[in-house]
Amino acid sequence: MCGVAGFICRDPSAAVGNNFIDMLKELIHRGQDATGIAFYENRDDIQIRVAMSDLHQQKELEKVIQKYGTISKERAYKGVGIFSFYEASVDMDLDAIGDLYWEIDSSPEFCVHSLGEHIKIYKDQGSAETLKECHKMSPSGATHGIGHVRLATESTENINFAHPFVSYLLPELAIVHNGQFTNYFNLRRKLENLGVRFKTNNDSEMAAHFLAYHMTKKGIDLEEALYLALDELDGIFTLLVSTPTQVGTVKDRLGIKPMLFFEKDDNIVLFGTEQICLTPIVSDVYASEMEPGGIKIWSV
Amino acid sequence: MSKIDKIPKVKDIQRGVWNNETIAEIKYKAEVGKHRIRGCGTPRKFPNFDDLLILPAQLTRMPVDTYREDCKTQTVLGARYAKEPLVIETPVMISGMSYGALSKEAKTALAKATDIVGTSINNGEGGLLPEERDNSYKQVVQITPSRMGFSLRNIEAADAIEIIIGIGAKPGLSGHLMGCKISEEVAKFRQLPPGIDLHSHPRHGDIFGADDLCIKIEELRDITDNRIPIFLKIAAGRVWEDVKIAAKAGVDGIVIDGSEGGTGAAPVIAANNLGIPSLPALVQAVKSLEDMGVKDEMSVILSGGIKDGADLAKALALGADAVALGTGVMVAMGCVVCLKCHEGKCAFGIGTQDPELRKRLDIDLAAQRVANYIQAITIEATILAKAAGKSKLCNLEREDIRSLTLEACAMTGIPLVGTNFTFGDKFGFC
Amino acid sequence: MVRLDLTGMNSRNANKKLKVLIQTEDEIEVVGTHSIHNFATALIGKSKITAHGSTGFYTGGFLEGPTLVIEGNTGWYTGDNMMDGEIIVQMNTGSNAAPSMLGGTIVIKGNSGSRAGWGMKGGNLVVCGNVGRWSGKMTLGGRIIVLGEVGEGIGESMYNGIIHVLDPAVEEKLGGNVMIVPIDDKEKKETELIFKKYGIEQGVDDFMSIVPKVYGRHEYKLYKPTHKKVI
Repeated sequence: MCGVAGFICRDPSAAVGNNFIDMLKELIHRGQDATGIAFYENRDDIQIRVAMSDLHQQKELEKVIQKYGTISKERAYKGVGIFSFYEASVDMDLDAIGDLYWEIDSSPEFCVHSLGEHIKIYKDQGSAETLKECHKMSPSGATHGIGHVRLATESTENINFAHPFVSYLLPELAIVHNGQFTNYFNLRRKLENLGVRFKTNNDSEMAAHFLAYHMTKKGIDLEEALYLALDELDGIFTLLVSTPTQVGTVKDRLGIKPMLFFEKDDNIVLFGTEQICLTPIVSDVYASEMEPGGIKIWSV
Repeated sequence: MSKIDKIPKVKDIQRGVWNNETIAEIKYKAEVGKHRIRGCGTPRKFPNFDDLLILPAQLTRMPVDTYREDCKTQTVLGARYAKEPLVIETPVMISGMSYGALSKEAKTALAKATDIVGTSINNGEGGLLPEERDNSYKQVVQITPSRMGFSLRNIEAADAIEIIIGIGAKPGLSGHLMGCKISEEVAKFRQLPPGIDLHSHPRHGDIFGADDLCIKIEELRDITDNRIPIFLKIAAGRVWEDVKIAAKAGVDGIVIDGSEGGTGAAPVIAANNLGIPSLPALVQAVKSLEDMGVKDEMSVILSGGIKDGADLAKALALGADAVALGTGVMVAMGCVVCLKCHEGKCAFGIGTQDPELRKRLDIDLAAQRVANYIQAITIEATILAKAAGKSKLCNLEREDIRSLTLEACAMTGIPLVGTNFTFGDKFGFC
Repeated sequence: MVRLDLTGMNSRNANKKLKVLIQTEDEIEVVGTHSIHNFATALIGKSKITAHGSTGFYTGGFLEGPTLVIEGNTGWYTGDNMMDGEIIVQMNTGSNAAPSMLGGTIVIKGNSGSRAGWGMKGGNLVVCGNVGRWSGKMTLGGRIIVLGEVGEGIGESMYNGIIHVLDPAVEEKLGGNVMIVPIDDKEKKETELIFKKYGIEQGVDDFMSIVPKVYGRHEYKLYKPTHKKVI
């Protein structure tokens, strides 16, 4: 019902990031409702990307951001579908990122796609091809990234419901998910009771909040959080999760959804739902399939 | 031949409420001058879990293989404050039925069944039989208003405590045990004169109100060093407010007993007209706990009319953590629900103290039958849960349920089948 | 001998071309496969098709007759519903290989994933490497031979069919309703012939066979309490 892909490129000069979008092109048959990618770069500024329901809302959005810091290099443009996008650099206090994130998200007109020192997320309607053409991305210097093509199952086809998902509790953590959780509503109620606020009705957003909540409030690391997720989340799922320093993956106990990974030299690691999506970068290699109930973490 | 001979005779039978049952009741009252007492609880039909259906996984979700993949049933209750929560292998428990209402053989058989299947039994009002305590896997000890057969020794033997405020079959009333069932042995156990018609206390002598309850619970926690869970059993009445008080009083879990619940003996008028059914009571209790933000801490146990795995699955989906069975396990042992428990002449040796009748109950066979029944309904519930894509019974959710009738839709806030329609606020997200 | 380049082609066109070519050509070399899905599905004939590269999902599905050699990896569901012929994969396959296969032979030189030989009805599935969990689940016939390690739940609830394994730890990983017996002479001969034909250097004496238990109904343990007594 969806496809996921990801990469780690420890030596940015190898510029795997450039071909990353091609990995998603090869998965187009798995989902054509939306495509999204998240990648991480070594930058020195905090960058923001927000989806707006209309271009004219730029001023209002900037008013909110200016409460927290100063804006530079701003740009607003229309996306593939009905949404418009805003991106800029923001000079602000690192600790206030979560607050700014939620303040923008509280408005029904806006949806933050990414906000952070390293992370950058692009997601829009349609295929990887149209995403590449419409949004001017430059992921060549990216150290790692994850991506997703979406075939909407139980929530709407609105692009704010597309992956990758981020939680305002830990804005540099992104997840992509292939599958469907069968206890989303119970877990959402549990998390809302603990004070977590949800923006969409998409079950994958819950996974982002679940991991982020346990990593921030309970102080556990990504690997422990994935073990917790394997136990508490129910349904069929393959999750690909990224933070500025790690990429992790977990596969459900029945092993229904595929997840392949391939390590080349000491430098490059590739992930994908199908062998075919690895071919733009390495062809004809043996990619290992993750074990059912398996969890693996890589450091970047 | 005249026209009159050709007219067929029509037999008129009943007129509205003046049916045979009403007529018999009136004749009884005309003879005796007071209310009638009868065993087993109300024969009325209420809206129940049969009015709900479960949505299976098809394309958006995948089902779990019924026979070859697992669905976990282990249940943990009372983890709110207790150091040692009650851990049982299935969410089906055996509810409190007293020694006195039931024979010693029946109580022993039920206790043995819990050991086979890995669940708990509740001793009920009549004291803690050594045979029950020695054979059960987990023992829940009831603190009833009458405190018959109750002492510190009971608390020491307990894996969980249940303070009883009322039962669904006769809420606001007390325990009733007819003289014919107060044999020498029962009388000794309960410290009563033999042969007396027992109407025990309806209220606790040491808990007059919610404020006292808070302190009482602290006392119990002091005695047990907060080791075991303390549950509170209420009959379903003013559920919203009662549940809030229970939560504020600091219990680890609440047992809701709906009006379908059974009993050894109760006034017919009370059984038929007091209290609300299990289904709406459960939903109201869950809503009340969520309103206070304590739903994830407090355990909810539902009893009253639970008969099969579908009731279990739907109760879990609506927010219960476990269910307790009474009449169901009696039927598994041999009961045919003749509604004559109060006469003490149970032909199966279950609801009697007559030594000859009691011999008819083969303890080990009865224990195996009850264990089989509990195992079977647990399996039934897992079949439904797996079809909905769950690998743990506790992962069933209210969004997996739809209402078949308008009453069920109105009572539960679960949308009507094939629509998005509810009356007013939805209980779940969809 | 003819050469077919699939670069830039989608599976519909690739299969159309193959269908035409197998009418007249005995040997077809295919390049530029780029892990294409549905490669060589439902081809009826006798030709030999060699793919110099990896292919994707459903490789050789419904194949009836030709010999397919893949010199790379294949994706999930390799040889699904295969009717007859041969598929030889030089490297590895994805999971769920040979589902509901009816006849013919599939030889995987590398490893396969979980659920290999799911619901197989006939034919031979030979895996020189390892297979994953729940392989040979609910087969209705056919022969699975695994030289490497097997995963948990091997042969789960087989109805008919046979699985030959070398893995010494197979007993702990056995699925439900099956049992292990020593390999019988008839099966040894058949296996030897298969190994000879495909150049697999492996003796047959150490194999164990997994076969269905003989009774009318499968037994399942649906309630698994962990306290102590077993019902």
